Amino acid sequence: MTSRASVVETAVTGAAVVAVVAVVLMGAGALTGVADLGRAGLLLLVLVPVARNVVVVARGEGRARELAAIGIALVLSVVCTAVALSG
Amino acid sequence: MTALDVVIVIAGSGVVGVLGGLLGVGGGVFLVPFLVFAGVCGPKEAVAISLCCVVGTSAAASKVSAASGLARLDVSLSLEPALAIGAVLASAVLGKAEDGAVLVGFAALMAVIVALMLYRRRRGTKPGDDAEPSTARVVAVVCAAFCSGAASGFFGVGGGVLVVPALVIILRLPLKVAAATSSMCLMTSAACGAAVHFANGLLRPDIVAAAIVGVLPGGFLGARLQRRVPDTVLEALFVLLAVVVIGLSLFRGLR
Repeated sequence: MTSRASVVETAVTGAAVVAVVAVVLMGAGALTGVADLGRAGLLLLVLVPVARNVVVVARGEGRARELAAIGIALVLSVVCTAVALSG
Repeated sequence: MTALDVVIVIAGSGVVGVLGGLLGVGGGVFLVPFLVFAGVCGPKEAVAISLCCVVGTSAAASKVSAASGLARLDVSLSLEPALAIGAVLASAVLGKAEDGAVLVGFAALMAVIVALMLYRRRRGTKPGDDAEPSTARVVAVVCAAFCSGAASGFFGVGGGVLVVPALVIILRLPLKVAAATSSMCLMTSAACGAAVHFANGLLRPDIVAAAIVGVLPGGFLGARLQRRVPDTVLEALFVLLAVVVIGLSLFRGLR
């Protein structure tokens, strides 16, 4: 059985890893001059909470799972709308 | 962006991170004025960049909070929708706002933050209770979360300075639990606000990356230094910096 503390730790570790990858992508985009890399990094950065909530949905239990699923839906809908509007 | 600009942003963000960690207010409160007054970008772009930094610092701070076992994931997840909706609406409004109005509003927010910080220091915090909160308290904390999200989206600050007092005063969580929970829940509102700024074309990945590279280690260093500096010195330093930021923001915003 997975303990609550372990779920939280795994979730925030996942989020931190995604944040690091996002910053690396943005840095690589700036250094190489490839604008799409930078944009990909930015998009990955705004998906950091999704990464955390995915872990909670996968490994958590009860109300936290439901709330995390709502969080995923909320962030994804905002990000998808933003990407659509940015053209 | 030249190599010199990158060095200036990393170094300046590092100092901002140290100040944020030292004073416990997060980096956004000082990052926005730094980016604007150093001539790196305009107020709206600075707000957007600061929100991205909040996502990065919140991810790192959550890791520390989770390790300490103090963060309440259930409370964080419950507040996140209200925080996110507030941030999205305010970020959308920011896209239409004048630069001067943003700076004058930022000065007003700084004044509120100073007042809240001094109030918390003077009053102290009551010991927390684990009783189930009443409906009225839940509604009040959700409203506070919405306002905090709006402040975050419009001014690029983390919003912890508003969320933490709400968690302590309304939900009666212990201060350390409230601070740990706040660092976790601010990630979502900052990410949603940043997504709206992304749509408005206000984000520049090169500046964001440089700012995060500076703010993160600075924040850790500031948090370590905090234990060695007396509270009265921190309070005086914060008030001094806040007065400078308010003065500069009003001067530039009203000009």
